[in-house]
Amino acid sequence: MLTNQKVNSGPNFELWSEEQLHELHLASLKILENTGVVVHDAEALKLLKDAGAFVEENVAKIPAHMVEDAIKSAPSRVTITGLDEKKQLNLYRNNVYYGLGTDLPSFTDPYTGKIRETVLDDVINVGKVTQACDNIDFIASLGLASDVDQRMVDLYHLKSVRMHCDKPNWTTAVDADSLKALIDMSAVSAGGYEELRRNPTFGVYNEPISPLVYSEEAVQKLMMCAEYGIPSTWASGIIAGATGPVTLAGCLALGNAEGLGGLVIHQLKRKGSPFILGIVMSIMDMMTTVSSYASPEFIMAHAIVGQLGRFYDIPTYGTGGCSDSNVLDAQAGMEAAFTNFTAALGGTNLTHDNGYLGAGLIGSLSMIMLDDEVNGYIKRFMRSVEINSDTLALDLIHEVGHGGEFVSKTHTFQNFRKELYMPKHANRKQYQSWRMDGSKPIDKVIDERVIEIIESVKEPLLSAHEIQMYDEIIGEREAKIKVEGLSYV
Amino acid sequence: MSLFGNEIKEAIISLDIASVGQLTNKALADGVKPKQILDDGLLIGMAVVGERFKRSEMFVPEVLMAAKAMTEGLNIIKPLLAGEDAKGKGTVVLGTVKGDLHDIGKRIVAMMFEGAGFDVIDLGYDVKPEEFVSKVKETNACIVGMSAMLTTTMMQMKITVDALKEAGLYDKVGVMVGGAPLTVEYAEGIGAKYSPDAQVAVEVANNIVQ
Repeated sequence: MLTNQKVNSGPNFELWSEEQLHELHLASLKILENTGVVVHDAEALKLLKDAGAFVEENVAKIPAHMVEDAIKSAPSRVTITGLDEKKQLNLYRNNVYYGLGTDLPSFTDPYTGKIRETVLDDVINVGKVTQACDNIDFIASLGLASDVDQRMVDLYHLKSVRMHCDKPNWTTAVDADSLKALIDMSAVSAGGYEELRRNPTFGVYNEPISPLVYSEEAVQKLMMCAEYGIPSTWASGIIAGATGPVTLAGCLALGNAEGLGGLVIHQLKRKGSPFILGIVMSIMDMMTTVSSYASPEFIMAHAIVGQLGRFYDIPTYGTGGCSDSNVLDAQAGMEAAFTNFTAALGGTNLTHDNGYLGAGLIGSLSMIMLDDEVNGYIKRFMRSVEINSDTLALDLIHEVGHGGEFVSKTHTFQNFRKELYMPKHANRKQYQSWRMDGSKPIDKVIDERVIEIIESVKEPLLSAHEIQMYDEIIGEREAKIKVEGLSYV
Repeated sequence: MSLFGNEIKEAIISLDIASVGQLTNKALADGVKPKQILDDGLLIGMAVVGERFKRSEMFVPEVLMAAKAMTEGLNIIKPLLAGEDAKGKGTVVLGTVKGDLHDIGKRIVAMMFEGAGFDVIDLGYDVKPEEFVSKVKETNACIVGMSAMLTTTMMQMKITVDALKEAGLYDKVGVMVGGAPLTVEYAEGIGAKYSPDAQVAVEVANNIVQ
């Protein structure tokens, strides 16, 4: 009888202890209580005031008990399901998924490699490429199409990514009216609003403005998500040394306070609605003033967010697979691996921004595919090394004996696919054979595969009915914007 | 170089705000001309800081602290500067455009401009085109700078440029733009000068007033 057996089925990573998390939590509560948040929305201020917050003009000071109530009522598990319902994100505890980010104004042209303004065709290609990447679990627009009306760009994006990809969607919304149209479109595919509430097919990136400002538009979108049961973040994009203290703990305390304040409004609007906790905390590079997407500090902050989520028992928002490099080069590879691997260690459930280059300004189809490969390595690593009588294979070792071989054995045949990760793009050819193959570095290999994918995928995954309904909803919105008389510049 | 000038320069480089004030007062008491304090001390100190920043030996928070040190001295001598010398480089009107509440980038630019010797009027965020126009008119500014963080608010830059044209100010003022979603092409398309960061913004502004 074996007793007190403890099995590690993967690493046990911890940056902070529970005491440290608690200290951060108390600091965030103090910020909400003492300094409060500016809320530029009458309905949210009323919700806060009626529930016991101290409201003066548009500053709401939120007592700790309200925050702790909201933490308790937020669900511990949030799902986002793809149009293919087998592709479902189960966001809880240490269950980590990777996906893209949204809205990059520039894009790497897949044919010329030139960085230019993003167009809607790029977003359609994002769908094609993401569908082909089985280690990318959810999709977002990645790009911000410049060739359509910016006041409803999110609607064109959703239709475009869904055209050739049936994975769960992550998106931003231009404003509350546009969000309603996104909900309408998704209700068409889900078969109604109740079905969409029970099984949401998309989640929304909503955010405060640091330090401690909630814009009217963002709060309205947050509340609409709560109302319709669409998962939402309220993840501060706080920048250490610029919009938050340069000391990382203070910056995290402030970012967490901003997030928790949003959670309170969200849960007051509709208790039990799905919320994803996040602090997309970066640092300002003190030479360039750029907000870096892959600094060691950025990575530590996200690892702490993962821990905070388990501390609160609320799913979390992560960031990875992104780089400050403008092209897919050695730096991009290094940062893609470092950010996505540490996201897995930190256990951030919805890890977004795969496919991001140029410190959050340039989208790249090839970066999506590089991240797909990186994630393959990580997923294998996290399955760890299983030890039992079958994997020890002592009988086989004895049978093969001295100087034999294992490659032709049934045991090898039966186990190699499970035990070994087969790289998709990474080179393992030795020099002569690699040279005979054209001496291609990995970025060239991936660039070519991207072209193969975007040229070979033709048939839409959306049904003719869905496309027609989507177009009708988009058409209505176009007409309404025209009536409002605002000209698109 | 004069002894006092060297001391003031060194005080700026070592980010010693209090000493810059004391040394400036002392130089004035010793009969040094304000213009000389400016040229041989304050501006040379900032020029060294600018050089070190370019070589990655000093960083943004240090440059801003140096600018504070320079302003300490500048505020003392400003009322004493006469005629042409009192003019400085000129006035810059800055703001984040209508509908946009993001202003950290613009704030950093404002601080860097002050450090470079401009008079800065920061209109804050959510600034309407007519507010830019009336402030440029009122202050006779040489530069107007707009910031936008969102592609949806970026279009306000063109509307503001059009408003400047309508008010007959466009030819009298240098228009500068910046912000995450912007590109050189967009800026040129609306008739504005683009800078990708605060450091370049200072260079662009200097070129405009030269």
